[in-house]
Amino acid sequence: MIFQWFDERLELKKFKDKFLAKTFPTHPSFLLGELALFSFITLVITGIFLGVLYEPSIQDVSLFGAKVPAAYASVVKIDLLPLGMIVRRIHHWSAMIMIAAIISYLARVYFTSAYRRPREINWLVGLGLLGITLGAAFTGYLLPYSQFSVTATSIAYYIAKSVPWIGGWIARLLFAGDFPAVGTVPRFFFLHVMLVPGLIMALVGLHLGILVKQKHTEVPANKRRQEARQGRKLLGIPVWPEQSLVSISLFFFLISVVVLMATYLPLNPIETYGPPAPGTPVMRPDWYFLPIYGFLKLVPGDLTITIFGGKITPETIGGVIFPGFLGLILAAIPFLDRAKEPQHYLMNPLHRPFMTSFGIGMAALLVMTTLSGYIDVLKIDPPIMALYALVTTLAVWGGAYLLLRLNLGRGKRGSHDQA
Amino acid sequence: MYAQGGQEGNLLRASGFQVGDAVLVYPQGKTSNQANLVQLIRLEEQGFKAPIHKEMTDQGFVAYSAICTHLGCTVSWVKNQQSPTASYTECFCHNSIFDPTRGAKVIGGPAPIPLAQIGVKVAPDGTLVFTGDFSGPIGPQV
Repeated sequence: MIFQWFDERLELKKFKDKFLAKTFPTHPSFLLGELALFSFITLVITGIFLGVLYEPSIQDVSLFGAKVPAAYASVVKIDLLPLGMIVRRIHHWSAMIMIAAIISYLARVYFTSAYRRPREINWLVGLGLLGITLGAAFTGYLLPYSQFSVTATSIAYYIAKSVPWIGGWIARLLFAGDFPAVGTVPRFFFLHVMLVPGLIMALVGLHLGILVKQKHTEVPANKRRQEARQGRKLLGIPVWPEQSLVSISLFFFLISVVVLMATYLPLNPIETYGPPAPGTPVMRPDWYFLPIYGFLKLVPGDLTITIFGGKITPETIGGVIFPGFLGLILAAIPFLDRAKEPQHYLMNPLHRPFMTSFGIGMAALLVMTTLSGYIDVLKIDPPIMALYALVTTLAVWGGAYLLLRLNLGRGKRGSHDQA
Repeated sequence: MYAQGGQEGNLLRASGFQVGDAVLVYPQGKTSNQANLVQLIRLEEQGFKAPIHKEMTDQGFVAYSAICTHLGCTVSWVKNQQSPTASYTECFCHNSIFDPTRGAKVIGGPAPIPLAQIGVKVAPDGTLVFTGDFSGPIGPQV
């Protein structure tokens, strides 16, 4: 009865037949994107709780007899609420899981060559999502306005300012004046709770729209099973009920893991960092910014290049050129590694020595630059560490290439399925 | 001048310093601006080498801007307990290291230029005072 009433007005049956019957692949690696999306949903839900109680202002207020910025005081008060600190930790852990899921997803798509024609656009949208998610994380750093927040944001401010020619302009636009300006916290609050999540939602919508339109890629094994048939019909399970049950299970699994982590694993203890103070203790960013942080330590101080009146300083090289270079390489990949025909089956990474070894080499670079963030602990001089990083990256890339080549040569003599 | 951190109003005195001691200080009347933060160090005068401005030091007291020229963190004093004159200034953000005996010359890490020196003097009443302005640009060179 009720269904009929809605169906008459909304043509639900058409939607049910068309969308709810959409086929989903069954390989678990196809769930990484969902994991990222569910982390985002968790972030939005906890973010609403935090956003309602947060005060985006650096005006001094009194907290337990001390004068501290209102933003800091409001986060301390959130921590003191029943379950308040847990909610804040769930928010922070979900952000880390979201970024980890996106990076794993990116690696899966890269190593199985799922970015190739006709899926170049969705690869770029996915990269955009990674970039914006990192932006969401970064804008969230400042909001508690602890000593950690202010140090991290101040570093980013000077990196932005170091961009040749237009750096001052970019920095003042992004940070609402010369950091620490009165307007910075309200500006970041707006970016963090409105603009950035809005962009994420828009891009997720685009990403999923394109996915539905283009259909999923499939594991190579499906190719043989489909050869008997005419035309391409995805093998897998329908959205309703099977895939929905998988997704709901995944969502609750994520929630339980995140709540468990938030309960037992503290992070970003702003009460320990304290409100902003003149001194700067040893502090490192969250793991996803460590490669940039580590690379900044490696660039020699006397490396300044002046062209057309613009100064390219060590700060620019470490904070702008290095991450920009990584992003550009990733964006260029589907246009460098082109397929002659539209491709709907994933490729076996073992059959693609160059691309696979390049990916492993890039991973080695990220690990080595992350380790560079710890040169003070490892007691290694920056030039030596830079050499280690370079040699390791090239050795891992070259070694992986040779091994894959050898393996491929052996396989070709036997009966190997070249997907 | 007075030390930062609730020490406003307590003028610093030369007698409170041992060789190898350092403290973050604000010039009088300039507390609110972090960019003016200065690291005041006491070392041995005979250890000072070029390009330090010797005329800007007094009785082994030397002062530099405490804002790292790399990305603007506040530098810290890494005290060598065995030989206090071998202590050095380090920025804990990206591990730039400065040699206080040689005009805060960069001896390690990504900082592009030395920390600017500022003249310091022991006044007749034993208090420490700044003389003049910074010898060069302060803060990140961007």
